Amino acid sequence: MLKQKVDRASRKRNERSEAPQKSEVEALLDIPFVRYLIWALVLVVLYVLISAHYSIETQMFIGYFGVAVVLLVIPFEKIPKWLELFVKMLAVVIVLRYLWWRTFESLTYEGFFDFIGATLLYVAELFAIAIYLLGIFTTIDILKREKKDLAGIPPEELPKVDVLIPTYNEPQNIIENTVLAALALDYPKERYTVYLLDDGGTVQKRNDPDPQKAEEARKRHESLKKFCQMVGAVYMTREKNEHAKAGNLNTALKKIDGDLILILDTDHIPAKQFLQRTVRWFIEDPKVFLVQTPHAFYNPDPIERNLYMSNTAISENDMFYKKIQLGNDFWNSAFFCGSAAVLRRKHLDELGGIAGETVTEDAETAIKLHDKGYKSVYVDEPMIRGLQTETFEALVLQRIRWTQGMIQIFLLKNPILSKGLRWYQRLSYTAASFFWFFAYSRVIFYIAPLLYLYFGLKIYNANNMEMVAYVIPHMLMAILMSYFLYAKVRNPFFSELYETVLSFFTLPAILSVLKNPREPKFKVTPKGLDTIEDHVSGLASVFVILFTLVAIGFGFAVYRYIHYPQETGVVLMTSAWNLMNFLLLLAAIGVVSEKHEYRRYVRVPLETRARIIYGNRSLSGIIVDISEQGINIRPDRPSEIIEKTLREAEDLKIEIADIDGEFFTIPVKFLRTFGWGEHIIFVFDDIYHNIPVRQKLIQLIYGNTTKWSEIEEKKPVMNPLQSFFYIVRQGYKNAMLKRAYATTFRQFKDYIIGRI
Amino acid sequence: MRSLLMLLALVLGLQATPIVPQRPIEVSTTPEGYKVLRIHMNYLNLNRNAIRVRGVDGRYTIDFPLPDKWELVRAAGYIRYVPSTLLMKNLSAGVVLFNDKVVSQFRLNDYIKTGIKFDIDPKLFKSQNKLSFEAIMHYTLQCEDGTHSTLWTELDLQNSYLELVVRPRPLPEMVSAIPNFMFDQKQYTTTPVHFVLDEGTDNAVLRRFAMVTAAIGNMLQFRLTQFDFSPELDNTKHNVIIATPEKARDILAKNFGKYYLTGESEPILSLYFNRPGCETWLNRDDILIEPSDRGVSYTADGAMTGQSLLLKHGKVDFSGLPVEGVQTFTVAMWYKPTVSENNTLFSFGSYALVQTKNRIGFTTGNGNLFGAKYRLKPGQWYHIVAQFDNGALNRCRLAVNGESLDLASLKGSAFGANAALEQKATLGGVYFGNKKNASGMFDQLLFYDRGMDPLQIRRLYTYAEYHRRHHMTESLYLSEKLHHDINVIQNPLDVSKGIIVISPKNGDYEKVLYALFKQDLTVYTRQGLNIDNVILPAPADAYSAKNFLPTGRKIYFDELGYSTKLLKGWYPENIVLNFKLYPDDYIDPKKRIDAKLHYVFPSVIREDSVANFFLNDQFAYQVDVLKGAKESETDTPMDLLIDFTKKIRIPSYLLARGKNEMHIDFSLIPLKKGPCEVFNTENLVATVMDDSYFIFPKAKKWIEMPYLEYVRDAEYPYSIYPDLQDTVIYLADKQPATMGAAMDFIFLLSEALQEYPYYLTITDRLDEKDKNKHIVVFGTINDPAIQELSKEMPIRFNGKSLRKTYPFIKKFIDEHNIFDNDRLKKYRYKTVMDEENFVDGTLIVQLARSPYNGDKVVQMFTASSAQCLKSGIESIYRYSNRHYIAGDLVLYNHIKEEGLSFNIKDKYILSKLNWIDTIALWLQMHPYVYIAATVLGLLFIVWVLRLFLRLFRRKHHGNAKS
Repeated sequence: MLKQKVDRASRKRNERSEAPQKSEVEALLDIPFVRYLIWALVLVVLYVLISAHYSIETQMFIGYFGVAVVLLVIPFEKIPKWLELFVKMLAVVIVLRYLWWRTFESLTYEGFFDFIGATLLYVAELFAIAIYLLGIFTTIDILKREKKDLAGIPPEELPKVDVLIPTYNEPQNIIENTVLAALALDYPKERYTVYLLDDGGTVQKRNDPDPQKAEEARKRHESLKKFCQMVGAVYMTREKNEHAKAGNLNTALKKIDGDLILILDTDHIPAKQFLQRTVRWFIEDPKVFLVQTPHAFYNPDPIERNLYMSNTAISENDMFYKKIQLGNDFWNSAFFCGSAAVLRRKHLDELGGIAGETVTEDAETAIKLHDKGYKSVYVDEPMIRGLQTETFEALVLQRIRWTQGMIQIFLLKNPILSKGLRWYQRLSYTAASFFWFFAYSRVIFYIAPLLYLYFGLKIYNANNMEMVAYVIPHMLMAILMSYFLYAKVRNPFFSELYETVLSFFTLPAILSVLKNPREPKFKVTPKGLDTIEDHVSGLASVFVILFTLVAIGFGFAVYRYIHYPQETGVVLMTSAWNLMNFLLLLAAIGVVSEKHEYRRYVRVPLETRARIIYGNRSLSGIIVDISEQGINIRPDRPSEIIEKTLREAEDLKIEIADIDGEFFTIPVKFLRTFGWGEHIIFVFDDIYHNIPVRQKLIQLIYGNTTKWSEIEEKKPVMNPLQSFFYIVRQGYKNAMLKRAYATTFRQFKDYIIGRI
Repeated sequence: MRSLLMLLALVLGLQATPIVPQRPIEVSTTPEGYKVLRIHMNYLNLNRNAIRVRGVDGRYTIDFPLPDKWELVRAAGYIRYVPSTLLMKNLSAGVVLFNDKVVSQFRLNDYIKTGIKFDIDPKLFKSQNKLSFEAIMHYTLQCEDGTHSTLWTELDLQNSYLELVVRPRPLPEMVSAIPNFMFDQKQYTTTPVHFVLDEGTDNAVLRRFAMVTAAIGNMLQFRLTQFDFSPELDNTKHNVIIATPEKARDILAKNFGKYYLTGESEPILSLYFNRPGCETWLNRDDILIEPSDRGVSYTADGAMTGQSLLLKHGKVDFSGLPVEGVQTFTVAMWYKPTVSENNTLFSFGSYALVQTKNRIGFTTGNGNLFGAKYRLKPGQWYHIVAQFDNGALNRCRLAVNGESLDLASLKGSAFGANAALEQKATLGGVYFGNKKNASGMFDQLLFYDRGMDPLQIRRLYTYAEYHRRHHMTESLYLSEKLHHDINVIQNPLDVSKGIIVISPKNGDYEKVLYALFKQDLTVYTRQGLNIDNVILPAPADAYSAKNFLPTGRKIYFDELGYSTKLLKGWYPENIVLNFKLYPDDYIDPKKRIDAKLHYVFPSVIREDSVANFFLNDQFAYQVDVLKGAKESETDTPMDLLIDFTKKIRIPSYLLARGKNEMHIDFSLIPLKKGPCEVFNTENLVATVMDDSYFIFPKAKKWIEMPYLEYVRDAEYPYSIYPDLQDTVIYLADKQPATMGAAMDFIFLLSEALQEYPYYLTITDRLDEKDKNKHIVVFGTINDPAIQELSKEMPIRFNGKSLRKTYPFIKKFIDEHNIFDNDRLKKYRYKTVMDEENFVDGTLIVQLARSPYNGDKVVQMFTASSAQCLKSGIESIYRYSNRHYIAGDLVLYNHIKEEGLSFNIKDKYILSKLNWIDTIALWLQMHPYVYIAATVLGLLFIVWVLRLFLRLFRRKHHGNAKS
């Protein structure tokens, strides 16, 4: 009977789709009852595994067995899928066993204040575990889509694309680069239009009551308009600055009629092949509403820069764009990240344009369209290069917006309650939005050991054996799993560092959203700022104070160790925890110790051949690196006398290959040589109006995806220990403690004077 | 290979260490025949060999009951102790108190192990006694911390003892003598019981003995006994006869002769001066003022205790004695001379019993005077038996206080030579005149018209002595005893031993046996020991044994035998609460035992005064006795008394399956008011109320079987139905020793359960009904019935050799891990069993799932012989050996008192849980399986996930790569 049912179901399925032949077991799963039964069985097994009460020794064995398995598996570059799943499930069991123990055995009432502390810590741990589990869910499988281009499709049949570049207050050269790169996309010219949507030159801005601001806006308006006319882009602006970026885009949408919309942030310079790689997904599947691509950056973020880690540390974005978004894509939940994405106009129209209820309009738009049953595609090929925030304050501002926006989504558009989403999409979106509460647990993790050391509050009730059996394996497992899951996309402990430096600022933002979910307003992330000299950020004081408290905590630890001999185990564990916090705070002070950096033009090491043409002579060499401003060439035959020759030469040009390998020449001026003629530096000579050359240069520098990938792949993968000590070392070397304390005292003094 | 391993073990010095069994109570005999009981102070807890008393006035107390059956002659004690080196010699002292009276004091002035001997006045002894050791300790003359770690003295409990010299009291002839004198809970030594089984071994008869066994078990509580069977009485033990009155008389007659049973044996004259019909006679020790017309008169003035006849040169004449044709006759009497001159004690015709200054003698009818040198001292009672014979001197006997005297001719004149027995007799003189009338006191005059052998003379004295001491009013004669349903009779050969004769008049044994168990004297009519009205018990409900605690409800301390107790001093004596839980009560280890401790104490104690809770010797909870109490005390803030109830949560994973012990240690620290405060320790008092309580979390029924520990500690699974309706005792043979072994076991069950096993079946043939019960089987290993039942056992018997059913891996692990002493012993033992099939002297106890019913067990006691079986059971159930009863197989050598326990067969679960809980709990019990199951469970989840992910991918993404 069952067999007949299975066969019938199997036949039906096979008839319906052209999927490969299913095995009998797979066909069996088509019967809902069987499917539910198996899932119920999985839940039962899981329940038994996590709830079985055991001797402490056995628990220890299981905990360290898990750790050993992960340690054994980690060194292998590639492991079978089943083993990967096994490791993940083992981690799930260990963390849930920990949670079970934590919930049912370690929570005791020791006193009112202890209870408050214990509850805060427990909730923080619950959050961390939830994120950990959601992370495992999200990345349980990832989708690597094949590369597609538009080969075989007649140009006239290609959809019409509108490239929208919303801008607000970014410097003009940044805008120009993006516009120029957009104009050079590999797509039939007649099938796409580039729009610069300038919110910095709106009528409202141009008529600002402040005459200076109004003048600046007018100048900006004129200049950009002129530039657009010159290069062939369309300049658009609007009456009022309403609804920020979403409003800007929606105003433009009313005026344009393309089938697809490519949205690029002002600083996001697209690679030539962007539309080639993305448009086909829309043609093939009419339900696709979004093709998102990764965001990549050509400059380090303030944390990398201030700790001098840009050449060695993996970019913070990689974890999301190289792993999580792939997992989201598997669950059909890859969401819109605001830029570097193509959207289908028709679907947007169903929503009435880009959603703007929250300050993260991108994710909000995606969730609404997923809710309607449309699909998203994530193309795992970085095809834009953007500019990271340059200062710590800017970074904080940016992350506060993200935090508030995602929490707004969690509160106002809660994915769990969304009717149209499938269960896996709900989980994926929950993971994406719920994650942003991390500030709470991070802050608690800093305060918790101090509550014990300073006040003796018993907020974590475990004996030494339980520590060894439950806590240590859980922590080791969390660290190792983070490494196992994200080794190539995030250095271990970097998450802790990023969360540390951001939490103390995003926590108030979270609270304000919780208080009034609709209050936050879109704030543009400032970009293109220079850091002229070394200084300590004005946000440093919170770290300085906490760092001091944590340091004093060690004194209390010694006191407690001596005077509370029955608590030595707890004192030691708490001190270790405090030490970890101490070192991370040291690194955090390093992060807020801003290092000077003029916004230099980014240089790309090309390693391709070039010819220096001067008069009728030429000199060949290898391009060491190239920027928008100039080029560094290593001649094949270095000579000390070449400097004189080049300095006196006229009509100096460099012949280099563009991104497609075709040679073109750029007029240059000799600047200098160094290394006994091994390096010759030229600056480009007046190429502002030479649009084709500029476009080729921009493509070479920013759109050279292969070269950027090579650069990123050179960054080493660090194991947890290496990574931790690396952070500590960089923190120790770069933290300007003296200045940080001086800044804090000054702020304190100012505050007191202000109060008086 | 085996030899090689042995050699290796020997080279490594891995000899099995012989276990020296502890003897907490040593019994010996003095030259006078008194028993000497040396009771070591760890006799209540063999694991506690030493204890430290702490604080400035630490105290440790041990209970020493004195059984009613013992008369204490003298008592002494010895305490071995080690004081702390740092104590001040001049200010530190030890005190021994007996029932709170000081019996010894000494200085704690030496730091090496030393001891103190002391005597205890027997008058200080009561039924329940307390011996306390108190140490007054100081380490400085200056500021002193009463809890300082220096202040300790260690008591060596194992080598300290109380020595009691005792002699047995005769058994009082009352029904209450059964629990009080025969089966006394206070006794220290084993009380063997002999069952007289004369009329075949019918199952119904055996069942009656089993019921008696259970009744004895209930009476004794925590004291051991042993049972054996034979058709004869065993005069060295208490005897039990269950038979019809006629049959019982026959048995008694067979053992003691007809003398004690028929009218023939009674004396033709007996004068008990207190018996009905003798009211005119004098009370013992009454003073006779002057002779009456009948030769006696009396007055009650100046009467002392008891009754007797005092003659002052007076006499009492008798006439009409039925002595015609009698050749030999015997006179017995108590006599207390008031003078040492010549006295005639008794005469009839020319026969007379006389006393001279240094001699005692009698005249015979032929005019001879015989006697022996024996000086009767004035003012002292003597029991005198004289046997007269008119023919031969060698048939004459004379005994004083039960001891026969050597007779010889005496100089002096007799009363004539005509040897004829007269029908007239005279006490205290001669019939024909007042010559040499006696001056002295007489009592219990007995005149027998026949002779007696020395043993009978001895018995006369024994009885008489007993009657003299106890002023008994009952008849001496066994025949009079058997008119009742339950008869308790002194054994005439040893009056400290009893014979219980159960002979229901209407043949209703069940009611009578149940009444015996109930020990409720209201069910007896006083005149006899007849069963009046007994309602037999209804079948018990499951899990209704009264000494097992229920879960999920309040258990007050008084239900645990605790009564409100006063605690005094820095470290007061701890409160010990013993209780049992059904082993299959599965209490979630994550849950807590809620408790409330209700105590009263003064508020002068310091904040760090605590009560520590220990459950099964594991620290379980600490109560800061003051914390929260002062705040709550709003009613009586002025009198500094705090009456407080404190909530306590004890982790339930500390509970053991079966027996548990909770003890609460208090530490009361006085308030420190100045730098050199002298504390008034009288402040340090507290009272813990018996309305304090526990609530055990509601238990689920779940247990892994089979484990003999559960039988040992909680009689599980037999205790589920405490009336044993679910248990059958199966005897493979009916040899007396096998039956005795079964009785020993039934006794142990009943003793522990404290319930009447009214529905117990004891049989030599299992019927279908029996097969659905738990089966406890006794027999020898060659018995075919045993072989049949051993199929599921760790060791199987096939009549020729033993066959073990070891799983291969377990055997391998067991036998190769030889570098461990215990393992080596097991290995050797098993090897011997395997290869030489040598089981002599070995008791084999096994527990396995019943082949007939999966929810039931079979417990098998086997040995090579029935005697070995019985000896093995008796030995292994001694408290010092019980720990060997564990696992599912025990091999125990009762001669060496060595045993080994094994867990061999696969375990199984008996539960009433839902299946998820069953799986989870089963896995808990098997860590290796759990780990394997974890991996398998994970692999299953991985398999499902892979399947699901593959299908998901195919459905949503075609054949995209991962």
